[in-house]
Amino acid sequence: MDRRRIADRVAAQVVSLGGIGVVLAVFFIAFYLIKEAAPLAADPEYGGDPIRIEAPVGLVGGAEKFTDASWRLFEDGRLQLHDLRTGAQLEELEPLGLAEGETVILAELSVDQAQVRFATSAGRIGILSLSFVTSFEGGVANADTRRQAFGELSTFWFVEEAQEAVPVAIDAVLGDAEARTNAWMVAAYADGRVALTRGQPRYNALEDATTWRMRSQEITLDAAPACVVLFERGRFLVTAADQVYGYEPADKFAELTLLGQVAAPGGEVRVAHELIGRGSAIVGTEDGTISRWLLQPVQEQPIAPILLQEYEVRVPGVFAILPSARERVFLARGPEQALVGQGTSGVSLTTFELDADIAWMNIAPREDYLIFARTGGAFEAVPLDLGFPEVTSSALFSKLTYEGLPEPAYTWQSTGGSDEYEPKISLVPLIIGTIKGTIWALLPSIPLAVAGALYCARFLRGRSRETIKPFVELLAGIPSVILGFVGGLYLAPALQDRLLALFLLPLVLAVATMGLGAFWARMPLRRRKTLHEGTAVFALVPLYLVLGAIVLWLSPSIELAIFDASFSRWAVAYFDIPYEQKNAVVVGLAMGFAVTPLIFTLAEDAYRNVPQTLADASLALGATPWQTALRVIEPPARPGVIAAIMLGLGRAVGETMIVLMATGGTAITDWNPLQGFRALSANLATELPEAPKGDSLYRTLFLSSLLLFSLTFVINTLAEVIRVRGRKDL
Amino acid sequence: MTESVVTDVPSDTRSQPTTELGRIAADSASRRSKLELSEMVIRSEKLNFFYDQTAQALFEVDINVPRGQVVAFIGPSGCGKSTFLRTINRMNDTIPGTRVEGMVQLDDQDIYSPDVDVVELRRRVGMVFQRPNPFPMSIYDNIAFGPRLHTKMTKAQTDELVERCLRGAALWDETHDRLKSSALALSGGQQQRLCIARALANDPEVLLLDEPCSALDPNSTAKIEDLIFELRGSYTIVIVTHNMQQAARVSDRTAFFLKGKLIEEGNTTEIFTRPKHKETESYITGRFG
Amino acid sequence: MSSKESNDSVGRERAHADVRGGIGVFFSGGALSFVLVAAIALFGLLFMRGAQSFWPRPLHEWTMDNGQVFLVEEFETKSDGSIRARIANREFQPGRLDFVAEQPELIKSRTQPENAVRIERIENGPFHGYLVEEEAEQDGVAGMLVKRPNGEELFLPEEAVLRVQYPNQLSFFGRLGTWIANFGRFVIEKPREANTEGGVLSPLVGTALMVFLMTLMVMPFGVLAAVYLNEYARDTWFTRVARVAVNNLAGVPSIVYGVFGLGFLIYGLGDTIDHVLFGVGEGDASIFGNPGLLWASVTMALLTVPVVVVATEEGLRAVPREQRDGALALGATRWEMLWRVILPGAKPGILTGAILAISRAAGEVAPLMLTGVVGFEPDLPISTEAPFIHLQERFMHLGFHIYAVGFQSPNVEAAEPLVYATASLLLVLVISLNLVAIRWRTKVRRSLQGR
Repeated sequence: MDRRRIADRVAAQVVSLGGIGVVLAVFFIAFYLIKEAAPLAADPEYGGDPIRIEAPVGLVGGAEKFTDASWRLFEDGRLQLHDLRTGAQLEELEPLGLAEGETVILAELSVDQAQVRFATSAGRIGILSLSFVTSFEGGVANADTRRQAFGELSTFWFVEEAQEAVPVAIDAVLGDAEARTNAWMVAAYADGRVALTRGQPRYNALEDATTWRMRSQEITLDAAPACVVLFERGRFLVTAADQVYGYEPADKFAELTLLGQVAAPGGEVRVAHELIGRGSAIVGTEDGTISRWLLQPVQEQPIAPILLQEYEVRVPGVFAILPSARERVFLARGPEQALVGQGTSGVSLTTFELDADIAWMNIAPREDYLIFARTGGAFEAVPLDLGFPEVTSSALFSKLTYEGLPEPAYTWQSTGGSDEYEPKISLVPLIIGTIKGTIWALLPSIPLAVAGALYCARFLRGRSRETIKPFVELLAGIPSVILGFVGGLYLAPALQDRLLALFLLPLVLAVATMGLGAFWARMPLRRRKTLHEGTAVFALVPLYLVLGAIVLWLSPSIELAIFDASFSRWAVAYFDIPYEQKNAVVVGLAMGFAVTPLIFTLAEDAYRNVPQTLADASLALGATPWQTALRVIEPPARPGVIAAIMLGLGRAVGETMIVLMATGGTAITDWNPLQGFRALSANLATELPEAPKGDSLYRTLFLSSLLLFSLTFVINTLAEVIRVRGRKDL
Repeated sequence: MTESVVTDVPSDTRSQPTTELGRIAADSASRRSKLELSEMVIRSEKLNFFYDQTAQALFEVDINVPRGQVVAFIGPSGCGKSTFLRTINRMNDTIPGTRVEGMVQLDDQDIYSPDVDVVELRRRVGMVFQRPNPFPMSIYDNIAFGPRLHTKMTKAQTDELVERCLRGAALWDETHDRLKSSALALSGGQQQRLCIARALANDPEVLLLDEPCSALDPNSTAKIEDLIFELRGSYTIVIVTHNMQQAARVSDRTAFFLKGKLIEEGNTTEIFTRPKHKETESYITGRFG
Repeated sequence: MSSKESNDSVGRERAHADVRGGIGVFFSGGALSFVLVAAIALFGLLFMRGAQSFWPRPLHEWTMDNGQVFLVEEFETKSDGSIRARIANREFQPGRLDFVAEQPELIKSRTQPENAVRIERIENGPFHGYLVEEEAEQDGVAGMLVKRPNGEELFLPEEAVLRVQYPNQLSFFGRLGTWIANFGRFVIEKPREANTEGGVLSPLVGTALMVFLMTLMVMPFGVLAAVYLNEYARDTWFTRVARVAVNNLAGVPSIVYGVFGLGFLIYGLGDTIDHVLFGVGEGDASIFGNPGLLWASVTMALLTVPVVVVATEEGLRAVPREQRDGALALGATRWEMLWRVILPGAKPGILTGAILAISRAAGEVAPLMLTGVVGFEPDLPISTEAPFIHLQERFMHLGFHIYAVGFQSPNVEAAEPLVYATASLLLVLVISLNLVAIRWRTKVRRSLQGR
C-alpha cells in the first residue's frame, strides 16, 4: 500500500478513536457521579477474618481507635492492655485505687469509649478517663511499627466517700474547668431514690488548680428505678417499670422538677443509654422494642420526655445498648441477637446472630470492627463496614425531628464542627430553593422573552432585526458572576429602597404601552406610515427609559409619602412577613438577564422558522399582522417555544453563581419570595470544597449533583424531543 | 371614469387561428358565454416598482382589468408579472425596502393612497400562491379562517359557509367526510383548491392566482383550470402563469410582460393568433423564455 | 357584494381587531423594548461605575456638628438622604471601615481645600490629609510628614507611599490623564491588601493561562469529535444518541462539571499521579492531588467540548457537497479530502467554536471554585524558573475575583469600585469575543443558506 492509503487508514482510525473517546468521556461524567454516590445505598457488610487473641475478658473493655490493642477493666479495679496482633499483655495498672475488698459492681463505657463510669461495692461513684499513646518502633511510621500504650489515666470521683447504699444505675459526664462547664452525675438506688450530683469547677489562680464543688438533690420514685440517662444541663431521664420520667434541676439547683412522665412501648424498661452528644437516648423494653427518646420542647410544648420513634426490628431480651462514637449508630444487644440502628432517621441497619458465650461486645471507635469478648477468655475483632448509616432516604427526603430543634423539619445543616453534632442532610430545602429560584427567574423571563421574540421575528424589519437579534444573543453571553454581583451588591439594596417600584414599574409601563397601542390603532391610516408595527419598538425604548427613570427616581418619595416609611419596611410590618435583602425576587431579576436572552434566541428561531408563505396566505386573506402572528405563526411555532422555555428552565435550575451571590443562602423551606433560599447548585459550590473526600457528606453532595445532572438532562432531552416533533408537524 | 368595453368574442367569420395556441384560445372562447361588462375593476397607471433604491422591477405599467373576466399575465421568469400581481393586493408591502410609484386603482380607489386600509383591501382581493400553503390546521378551520377574522359567526353559519366554499372549489365531494382532519394530509392539487376555497370564503371581488399550477401534476392542473372556468363571471380573476397553453385555455384577456414592462395586452385569442409585437410573437412561439 | 348592514358589522369587527392588534403589537414590542432597556441599564450601570472608579474625585473637607473634621471623596446620596463618602485613613476608623454615610444637615461646612492630598499607600488603603513636609526623616527612615484632617501629624515612610495626588488641583484634562493612568495601573498592577487595593494583573494572567491551556485541550478533541460524528460515523443509533448527548451536555449545569473535576480529576487522577510519579504518601502534602491550574483547565475543556463540537459540525455542514465530490473525483483519499478541502472550508465554524469556548471559559466561575481558583494569590502561576508554567498551583481568575472581592472580602465597601471595574473589564472581554463569534457564525450560516 502506498503512503497515501496508509495515511488515510491511520487518519480514519485516529479520528474514530478520538471521536468515540470524546463521546464516551461525556458519558463517563454521568457514570462517575453515579459511582461516587452509589456507596450511599450499599448495605452494611459484616464478617471476614477476625482478629483473635486469648485474654481474660473483664467487666468492660474495648479497643483503641487503631484496633491495635484491647483494654479491659476487671472487678478488682485492674486495667489490662493486650496487643491484638501478638496477644501479648502490654500493661497492667490499677488506676482506681480501690480499698481492700472493694470491687467494681457497675461499669459502663461512655459513647466516645474514652471514659468508664463506674460504681463500687462501697457505693463510691466516679469516671475513669482513658487515653492511649501511639508510638512507632524504629522511627518508621506504618501500621506494622505502630505500638500502643496507656497514656494518662485519671479518676474523677462524684462520690468519693464510702456509702451504705449501692446504686443500681448511674450516668455521669465530666465537666470542663476551662470552659467552666459543670460535671453531672445521676445515680438510681433500689429504694427508689434518684440522686443528681452537680460538680461546679472553682479555679484557684494562686495554686493554679481547680476544685470541684459537689451538690446533690434527690427525689424518690414510687417504683424501683432501673435506668438513668443524663441530658444537657443536668436534665435526665429515669425509668421505673414501664414509665419514663424526665427531670430537671430547678431554682438554682434547689430542687428537681418533674418534666413529664410517659409510658414506654413494650412494657418494663430494661435498658437505656444516651447517644453521642447527649441529645437523645435509646431505650429497650421487656418485649424487645427499641425506641429513641428526646428530652426537649417539641412543637411548642414545654420540655418533656418524648418518644420519637420505635425501631422496626425488635431485640427480644435486650439488656445492653452500646452506642458508637460516630454517626449516632448504636448496638442493641439481646442474648441471641443484636441490632445496629441509627438515631437520626430511626432505621434498623442490620442484625447479627450472637453466640451464647459472649461476655460483652461493642463497636470499635472507628466503626470498622465489631468487638467481642468471649466468656472462655478470648477476644475477637470482626471487620465491619456499616457504609453511610446517616444517609438514608428518610434523612434525605423526610421531615425529621432533630435533637435540639423545636419541631420536625426538613433541614440542611450538614456540619457543626464536632462529632457530637447531628448532621441534618435533608435535600428538600435545597430542592425547594432550586424550584423557588427557577420560578422567580422564569416568571418575568417567559412573557418578556416569548413576546419579544415574536415581535422580533415577525414585526421587526430588515436591519433593525439583524441588529437587535445578535444584541440580545450577546446578553446570553454575560458571565453569570457579573449578574450575581449586580444582583447581590446593587439590585438587593436598590430593591429594598424601592420595593414599590417592583409593582409600580410594570403597571406604569403596561398602561403606557396599552395606551400607545390603542392610540396607534385609532390613528388615521396615513399617519401610520412612520409609526407602524415594525417601528413600535423605537418609540417604546425611549418611552420606557424615561418612564423607568421617573418611576425609579420617584419611588422612594412616593413610598415615604404614602407609607411613611420605605414600602419594604411597611409591608413587612403590615403583612408580618420576614424580608431578607438578598431574596428570591432579586435572584429572579438577576437570573432574568441570563434566562431571557436564552429563551428569546431560541423562541425567535422558532417563530422565524414558520414559513413566510403561511404568513402571506393569512395576510392575503385580510388578517391583520397581529391576527396573523397569533393565529398562523404562533401555533406551529409553539413546540419550539416550549422547547426554548424548557432550556431556559434547565439553565435556571443549574445556575450557580447568581444564586450564590444574590441570596443569603440559608436553607429554608419557605416559599416567601421576599426571603432567600439555598439551591442545590450553590450548596455544591460552598460545601463540596470543605467536605472530606469519601465521607458521607461528600457522597451526599455527589448525590445532589447527580440529581441536578439528571434533572437538567431530562429537561433538555424533553425539550429536544418536543422541538423535533414540532418541526416534523410543520 | 369607467369605460364601457364589450368583450371581443371571436367570431367564425374571422380567419382561422394560425397557431396551435391560437386555436386553443379560440376554442375556449367559444365555450364562454358572452358577458356584458361595463367597468374596469383594476386600473394601473404609470406604475413603477422598486425592490430597493436601485432594483426597479416594474416600469410604467398601464393596464386595465375588466370586471368578471379572467386575465392572464404571461412572460419569462423575472419579467415582473408576479410583482405586478402582488401590487394589486399590496403583498409587496411585506418585503422591506420596496417602493411604489404611480397608481393602482381598485374600483376607482387608489389603493396606494395613505388612507387605504391594507387589511380591508386584502379581504376584497383574494390571493392564491404558487405553492399551496394551507395552514397547519383542519380543512374546516382553513376555510373559516378568513371570515372568522372579520365577523362573528355562529356554528351553523360557518358550517354553511364552509360547505358552500368547498363546493365552489369543487372539493366538497372529496373532503366532506374529513373536514376536521389536517389540511396538510390533502394532495397538492387538493391543497391548492383548498387555498382557492379559502380565498373565496372571504367573498372577494378579485382573485389573484400566482402560478397556481406550477407545483402540480397535469391532472390537478386540469381540475384547477376547470375551477377557474366555473368561477369566471362571479369573480374577476388575474392569473400569472408560465404555461402559455394554460393562459390560452382559461383567460379572456392576456397581458405579456418582459423585463418589467407591459409589452402587449389584449384579447387572448388575438394575442395568441395575431400578436402586435415581435417580442410577444417570439415568446409565444417559444423562441425564448 | 355584501349589503350595507353587514358591511357595517364587518367594519366594527375590523376596528376591534385593529385595536386588539395595536395593543398586541405594542405589548410584544414592549416586551422586546423592556429587554433592551434592561440590557442598556445593566451595561450602563457597570460601565459607568467601572469608569467612575478610576475618575479622581475631589476631596471635600467636612466639618461636622460635633466638631469632627473629615476629608472625603463624596460618592452618592442614598435614598434616606445621607451622603455616602469615602473617608479613607482606614487605620484610624472604628472597624477599619473606609466609608461613612452622614445626613447633610449634620455637616456644618463643606469646602474643597486646594492643598488636600490623597496618598496611595502599601498598607491601610489611601490616605486623605495635607502634606506638611515632603522630605522628612524619622528614626533614620526617609519619608514624608503629613497631617490628618483633624490636625494630627503622621509620618509615612518612603517605601509605604505609592503615589501622591492633589485631586482638587486637577483640571479636566488633568483628571482625564489621571483616569487613564489609573486605568493603566488597574490592568498592570497586582492586587494588594486582600484585593481591596491594586489592580487585576494576577486574575487577568490567571484567566488567560487557564483559557490558553483549555483551548489547547478542547480544540483538537472537540474538532476530532465533530469530524467523527459528521464525516466518519455512519448514521446509527450510537451517533444519534451521541449527538443528542453532546447537545444536552451543553445544558448540564457548570457546577456539575466542577464536581466531576474535583472528584475524578483531583481526588482520582491527581492523587494517583502524586502517588505514582512523585511518591507522595499518606499525610504528605499533595502536588497534583490539589485543586490547581491544570485541573481547572481540563474541567473547563470538558465543559466547552459541546460548544466546539456544535460549532464545528455547523462549519462542516457548510462545506458544499459538490466540493467533497469534486475532491474525491480527483482521486483524493477521504483523509486528503478532509484535510485539504473540508477542514479549510470549515475554518470559520471551527474558529467560532474556539471563540465561543474561550468566552464561556473566561466567564464561567462555578466549576473553578471546586477545581483550582483562589481568592488572593498575587504571585503569578508563571515564572522564569522551569517548568515556567506551574500547573499544580492555584490561580486567580477575573470572574472569581468579582465574587471574592465583592462577597468575601473583609472590606466590601472599600473594594466595591474595583469590583465594578473588574466586572466591566470582564464584560468587555467576553462581549468582544462573542461579537467576533457571532459575526463568524453569521458567515457560516450565510454559506449554509446560500446552498
